[in-house]
Amino acid sequence: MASTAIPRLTAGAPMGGPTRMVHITVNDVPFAIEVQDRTLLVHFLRDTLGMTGTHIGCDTTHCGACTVLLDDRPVKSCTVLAVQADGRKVRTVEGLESGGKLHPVQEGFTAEHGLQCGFCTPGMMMTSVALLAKNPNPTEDEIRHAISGNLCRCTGYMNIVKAIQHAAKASGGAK
Amino acid sequence: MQADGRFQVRAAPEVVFAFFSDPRQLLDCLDDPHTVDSVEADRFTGTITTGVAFIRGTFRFTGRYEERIPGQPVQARIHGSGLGSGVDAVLLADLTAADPGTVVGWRADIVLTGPVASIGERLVRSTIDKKTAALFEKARERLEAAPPP
Amino acid sequence: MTTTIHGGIGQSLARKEDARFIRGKGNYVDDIQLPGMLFLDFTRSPYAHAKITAIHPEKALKIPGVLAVITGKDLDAAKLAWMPTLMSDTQMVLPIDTVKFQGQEVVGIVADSRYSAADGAAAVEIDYEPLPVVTDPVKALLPDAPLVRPDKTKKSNHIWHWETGDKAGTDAALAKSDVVVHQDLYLPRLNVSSMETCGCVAQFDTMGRLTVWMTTQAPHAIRTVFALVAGLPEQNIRIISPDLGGGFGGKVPVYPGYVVAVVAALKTGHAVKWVEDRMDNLMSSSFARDYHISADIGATKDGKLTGLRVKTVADHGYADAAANPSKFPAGLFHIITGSYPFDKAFVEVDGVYTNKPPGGIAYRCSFRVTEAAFTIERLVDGIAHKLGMDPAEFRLKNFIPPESFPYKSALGWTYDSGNYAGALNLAMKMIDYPALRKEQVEKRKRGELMGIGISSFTEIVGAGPSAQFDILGIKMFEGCEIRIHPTGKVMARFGTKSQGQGHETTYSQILAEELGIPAENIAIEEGDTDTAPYGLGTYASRSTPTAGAAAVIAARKIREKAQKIAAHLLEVSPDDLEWKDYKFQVKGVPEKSKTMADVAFAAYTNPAPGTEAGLEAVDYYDPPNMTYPFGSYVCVVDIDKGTGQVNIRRFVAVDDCGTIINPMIVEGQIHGGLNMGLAPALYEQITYDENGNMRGNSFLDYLVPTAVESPHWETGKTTTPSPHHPIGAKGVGESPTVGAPAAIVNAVVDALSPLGVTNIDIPIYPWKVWQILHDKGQN
Repeated sequence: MASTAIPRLTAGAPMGGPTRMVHITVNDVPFAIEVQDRTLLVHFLRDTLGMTGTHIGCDTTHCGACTVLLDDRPVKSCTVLAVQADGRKVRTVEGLESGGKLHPVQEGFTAEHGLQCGFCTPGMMMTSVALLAKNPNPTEDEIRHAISGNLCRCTGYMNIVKAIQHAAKASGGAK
Repeated sequence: MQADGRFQVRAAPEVVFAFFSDPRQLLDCLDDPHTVDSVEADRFTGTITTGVAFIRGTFRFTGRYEERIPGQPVQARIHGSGLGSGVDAVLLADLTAADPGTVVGWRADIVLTGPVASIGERLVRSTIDKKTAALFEKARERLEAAPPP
Repeated sequence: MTTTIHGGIGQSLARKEDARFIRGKGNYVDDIQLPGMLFLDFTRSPYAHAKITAIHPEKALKIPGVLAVITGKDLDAAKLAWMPTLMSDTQMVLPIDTVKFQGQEVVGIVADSRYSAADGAAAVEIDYEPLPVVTDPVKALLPDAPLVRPDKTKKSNHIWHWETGDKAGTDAALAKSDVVVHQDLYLPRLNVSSMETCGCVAQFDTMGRLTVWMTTQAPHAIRTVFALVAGLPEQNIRIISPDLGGGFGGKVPVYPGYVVAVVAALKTGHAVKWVEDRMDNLMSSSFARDYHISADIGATKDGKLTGLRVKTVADHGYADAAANPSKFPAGLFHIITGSYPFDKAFVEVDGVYTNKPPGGIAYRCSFRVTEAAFTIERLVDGIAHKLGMDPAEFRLKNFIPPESFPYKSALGWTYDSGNYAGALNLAMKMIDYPALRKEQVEKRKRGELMGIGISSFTEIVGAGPSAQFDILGIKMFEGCEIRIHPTGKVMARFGTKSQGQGHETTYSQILAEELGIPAENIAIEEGDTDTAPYGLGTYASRSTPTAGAAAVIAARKIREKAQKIAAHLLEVSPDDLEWKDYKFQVKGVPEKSKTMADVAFAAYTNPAPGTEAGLEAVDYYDPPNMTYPFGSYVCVVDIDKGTGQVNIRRFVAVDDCGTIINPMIVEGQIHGGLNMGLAPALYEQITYDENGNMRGNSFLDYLVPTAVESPHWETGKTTTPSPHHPIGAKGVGESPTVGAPAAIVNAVVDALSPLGVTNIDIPIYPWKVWQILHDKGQN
């Protein structure tokens, strides 16, 4: 091994590269933090803030495990830089439950067995939240297209569709 | 993978030969950012920053002229590595006097390895075609712009 | 009226694990953060086969944050450059002088952040001398093929030959058959692509004790392998498998990354995390399938099957790192006689080395069972077609009849139970098979392409009886330990490891039923080798057949002791008590009773004379036989003549997994399994070019089906309990993956059969269908 002395370090304090201050509101909590320019939003959430509910599944924007809402629009946070979120609002899975009450989408996923390993679930739920905000009473076909950027390997999507329908119904359906 | 082509340039075969025999002049026709770090006898080294689709980065390369005798085809072998990938290419240019100037027939036999080859497989072909066409077009422009010997 | 208990067997109890997952509070390996934790990344080989002439780490070490590099030579000094595979072959941890496949780990880089580690990996310069490459296993067997493993004494790419059955008898049976169909089939290389890739965090404490949080389906087996390979005392190794984001077989092997992370943690004195990115995972984690099959099936002219002969070339990449029971190099491929009573059968498999990643794991199926089911169900369709018989009628005529169970197959398995006609008849009824055939006749007259495909598969799961089944010598039993606390609450631990199957829920349901304690009062823990009883882990649909049985037996051991305590409390003899309605009752005097909670409290506060305090039991269950789930699937497809696109109009899946513990979870398992049956039929494969470049190393090219491609699955069930399992359960997570591909391909071939098509290679991409249609003048 080429190195001998290993200095004591603090995890989560990356060295090297230009940095800048970002102001990002995550689940209604404002943060002002110095990040490397190249820090991805997903790493900012997971490694810097320690909010590990948002997952990484592919690095190439195909699987959707990292989906969060950026100013209420679903984005894949593995291909968004933290600096691009500067001055904006991010909502993650950790921000769905409010006042001890689950979000209807969370209720739907558990009531309809819309998850198995749980790894795609946070991203899948964030996409669902965005869908229902735009289309409160989607058809099965509309749901399938809306979540087609979120891969799930466990469920065959059947119960995810039902979960989203369940949430739509609980939220009052067609408004 | 193979690429080949043919073009005519209004410059004498000796001029074209000299151009193709000088890695600095030839590589300077690349659109991509590059450096030529050393030229010693028939060997040369440098870097080129390029990519296919979203796979971009810097390749280091080493090259060697295998054939560089006036009146005969010029042949160079280039090995490059970068982005966890490798490229091995044999480049051949056959010069024939024409009126006016020279006809250049060229061929590249390229072996790509690594992510550039696998992720970019569907895109590599068109990228190589585009880049080689641009390289030789610039070479032609430079040769024709050069003052006659 | 029968009494029920909250969360007992047969109830669709909501899953206990969901509470954390829907809140983003799961704890996956990459979620683990430790003080001072470092990151490991790898420089990987761009070549499929090359000699390493020099490694220059200098530029990498100058990058801020990069702390160390680890090479094969470093590992070799500690005798760790090579490691054994589960099949007793050898594979590299890191190469000393030669790389064997594209994407192979060559140099490990340890840095203070994942970004610096990635920078370091990109900056390491390695000089290679390319060597000739072989990626086709058939070509690899030719005499002049490049030798993949010159380190072996045998100077050939041939690894092993395995065969079973009656060769001469099968040849004779086929020779005198009225009809024989020959079919070559290729099951392409696949990657399980669980949404979570593989990774670990390794940490040595100040006393030199190693803890590894690892994406593993088999933590105990990993601990033992680590002890044997690294020479660490086994009590000083703790493997923790936290929440897993899917497994499907891909998290059974030991990967180089795990070993290098441990070495890096030892070297640096820091915790070290290694997590694959998706490209790493697709390029180097273990593959599945890659079976080149050549088969003959025979029948009499009136449609009775006579013989089956199967020859297979198995591509293992550069090392046989399959995750099979040790005595079965081709897994349980000899379940290939399927649901049919062949008198004669013979199967042979040759394992071959190529310049591809090592492996041979399952893809959500028991060991090589999909390969077998796909082959037999394609062949049965082929011969029915040749005989001019309806494929459903042909199957019903040939099935092993229900009264023949236990049934001994021509290749030596003893099927425990089955009712194959029952499942097929139900599936045909659900989809209205006669109406579909009528519609098809009409459509064919109009030149429209509609196909109906059937698959009536039989699985073999629940490995397995100790006489036959071991991995590296460790028998394939499964452990369960139950502790009932004084307040009547339960902690039960298992050697298996859920990857999404919902063990926390189903195991607590089994225990609720057996202990008479509501499921909500039962906590289940898996995956920590310091606390869980030994077990071989979760794969091959073995958890319910083995660990589920261990849970039942351990619970019954508790009941035996509890009965004595209850008798003491009720001041009667234990023989005067019966276990009824989830409590101990004095026979004939049901109002005199004690619940398990009463007994538990007494076990700590007022133990019966002559009994030990406490209420605990352990069982290590050695199954007497495998279980044999089965099912029948019917698929209807419509083909777009203009594009060649296959549209799955309907897909009915009837499964029989014996006793069902949680119907909701079973249905969810079937939906997911069906999707992983759809995937190889229409979308997924990994191919290599002649230079060994892997084509498809991102989700751009490796096509995991999305919700849009996935059909609206329809499910049904029959219930034929396993006669040897204590509650009759058989295992279910994988049967749809095993059964679905043949149903889809049979449907496509059926649609194209008027054009003379008898086979189409999977995955069935639109361009393949379009090409066929074009060649036949159809578009």
